[in-house]
Amino acid sequence: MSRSKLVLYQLDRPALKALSADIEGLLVRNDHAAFAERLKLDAALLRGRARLVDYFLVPENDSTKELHAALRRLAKRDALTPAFASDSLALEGRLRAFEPLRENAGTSAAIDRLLNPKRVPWYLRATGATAGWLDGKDRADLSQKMDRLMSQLTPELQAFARGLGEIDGDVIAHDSL
Amino acid sequence: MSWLDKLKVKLGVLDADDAATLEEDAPRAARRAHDNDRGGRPALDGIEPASQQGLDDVLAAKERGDTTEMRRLLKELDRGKGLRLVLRAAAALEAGDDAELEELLPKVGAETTTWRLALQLASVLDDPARAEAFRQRAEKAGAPTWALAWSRALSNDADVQRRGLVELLVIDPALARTVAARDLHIEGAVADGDASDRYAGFAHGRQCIRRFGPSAVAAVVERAGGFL
Repeated sequence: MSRSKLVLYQLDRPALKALSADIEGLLVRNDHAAFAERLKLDAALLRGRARLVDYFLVPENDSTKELHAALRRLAKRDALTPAFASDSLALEGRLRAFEPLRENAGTSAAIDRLLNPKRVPWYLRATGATAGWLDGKDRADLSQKMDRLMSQLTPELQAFARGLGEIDGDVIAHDSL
Repeated sequence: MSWLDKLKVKLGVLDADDAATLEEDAPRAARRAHDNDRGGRPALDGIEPASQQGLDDVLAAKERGDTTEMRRLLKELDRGKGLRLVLRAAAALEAGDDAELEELLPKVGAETTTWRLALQLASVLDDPARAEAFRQRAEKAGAPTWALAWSRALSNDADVQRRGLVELLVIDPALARTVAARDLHIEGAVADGDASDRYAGFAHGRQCIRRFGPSAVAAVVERAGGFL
């Protein structure tokens, strides 16, 4: 289990979808110059491979981390607004294992979805990172359920519940953006 | 299907189709485990020992040109469905054994209604037009998007391959990286453990078809009336 600090972002879903389509199109067209321009990167960084997509088919390492970081920066700029940042390293562990939260199947499932990296676009999945997404309805449901449990929650979970409640619409949780 | 594979299917880690494909060689492994449990006791009088043969032995026989042994093994292994049946029919076609072929073709026809065999063929056929026809048939048969993208990622056409890789990256990054490492040998790519079951379920059959000879397998499938 990772020990990092979770941040909740209010998601502009149409903007993230537009970005995903844009990036996919550039990779399919294999347009190095346009890709570098879109990511605000030095085009020299993309001279190593003939096919753009290949940069993202290898592990994120010294030679590719700048590309991944640029993509994530772009996603944050276009579609993600930070809404709550935990100052506790214990928050993720509490969310995954705190019994009062886990006793309710709906609450438990919603938290698991919010901490499941497979629910965010490929370029937001950093190696070893925690990430996930809830749509507006699920976020509101989870927020209400955590509110009802507020008196039983630990301080970091109480702060998280309040942060979740202040978001309007979809939310993305991430610990490495 | 083993209890572990059943659990994986239930948890969504493994497709039911993948589990069935992985099972192709399972009886052999199970028999080996059983043999090991005998503690060195001799087999009972009058009881034939269980066959130790699998598809690897079939393909090894074909590769050394021993078609008689290959066909004998296929006949022994054939359970009336799946890849063993299709390979048995392809072997009969190659041998010009019309009697056996006619007997098997109706069952092969039933196999051709699934997307998996069509996509495995599309992934290994050298003829782009023939491969595309099988790919389209798989799509009509309800092939999942990841499987179609994977198939395109192995295309000989550079544009189609690039599109397939991008699609696969978007749909299933772990599988895309595994395909990049194992199938395309892209420099620096590393197989991702999260995709190992899905990869093995599809790649096993594809590799068997490649080793057997895709043209013969495609021919028998086409003749069964399923695709073209």
